[in-house]
Amino acid sequence: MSKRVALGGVLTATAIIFSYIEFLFPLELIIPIPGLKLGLANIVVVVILYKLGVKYALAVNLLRIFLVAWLFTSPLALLFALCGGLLSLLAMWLLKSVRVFSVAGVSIAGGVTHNIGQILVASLLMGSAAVFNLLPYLLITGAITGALIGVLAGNVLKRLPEI
Amino acid sequence: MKKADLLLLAGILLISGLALVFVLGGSPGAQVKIVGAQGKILGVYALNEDRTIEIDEGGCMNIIVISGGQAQMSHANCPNQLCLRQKPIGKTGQSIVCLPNKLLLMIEGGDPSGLDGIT
Repeated sequence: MSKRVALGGVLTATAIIFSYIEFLFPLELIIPIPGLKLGLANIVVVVILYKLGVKYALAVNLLRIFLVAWLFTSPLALLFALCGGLLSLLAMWLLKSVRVFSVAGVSIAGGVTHNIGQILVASLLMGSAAVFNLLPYLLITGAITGALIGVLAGNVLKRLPEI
Repeated sequence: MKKADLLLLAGILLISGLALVFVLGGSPGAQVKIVGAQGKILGVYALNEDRTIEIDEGGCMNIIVISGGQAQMSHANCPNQLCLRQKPIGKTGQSIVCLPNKLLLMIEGGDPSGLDGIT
C-alpha cells in the first residue's frame, strides 16, 4: 500500500512536469487553434490506467489538474482542464474495458474526448453553440496527437517493470 | 497500433474531415454578428462595407476589421492572442473565438432576407 502511495506521488509529479512543459511551449503557438494540445501529461495517465487501474489514474489526474491550475494557469483554465480531463479518462477507461483497442486506440479516444469536453465548457461560457465550429479541427488534431501519445505510452508500458 | 486502433483513427478523421468541408464550404455570408459573454449580441455588421469596430466590454478590448467581405480580429488585449492568428472569415457558419475575452464573431445569412437596414 505505502509503495503504491509513493508511486502515485512520483507519477503525479511527473504528470505535473509534463503539463509544465506544455504550458511553457504550447502547440497553440505553432498551430493557432484554441484548445489544441499535445497532451504530454496523458502519457502518465495512460500508463497509470494500465498499470495501477482507473482509481489511481483518476486520483493522479485530478491532483495534476488542480495543482497545475494553482501553480501555473488560471481558474478558467482549471474549468477546461477538469471537464476535458474527466471526460477523456472516462472514455479511455471504457475503451480499455472493451479490450478491442490497444493503448493507441485508448489514447486516441482520450485525446478526442478531451477536446469535446473543452468545447462543451467553451460553449457554456460563451453562451453560444458557435464554438462547435472549432470541433472538426480539434477532432483531427486530437486524434493525431492522441495516437502519438498512445504509441509513446505503449512503449513506456513495454519497458516498465511489473508493479 | 492494432487494426481496431487504425479504424478508430480513420473513422474520426473521416467524420471530422466531412464536417470541415461543411464548415469551410459554406456560401459567402452577408453579415458578421458579434457575440459577447452569456450570448449577448453586441452588434451585427454587413460584410460588404469595410469598417473597423472597437469592442470594450468590462476591460476586454477587441478590434474587429471588416474588409473585402471578410471579418478578422485585428487587436485584442487577451493573454494568448490566438484570435488574432485565426484566418479572416467570410462564409456562412464560420466563426472566430476569443475565449479569454469571451468574444465571438459569427458569419451569418447569405440570403438577402437576412439583411436589414441597420448599417
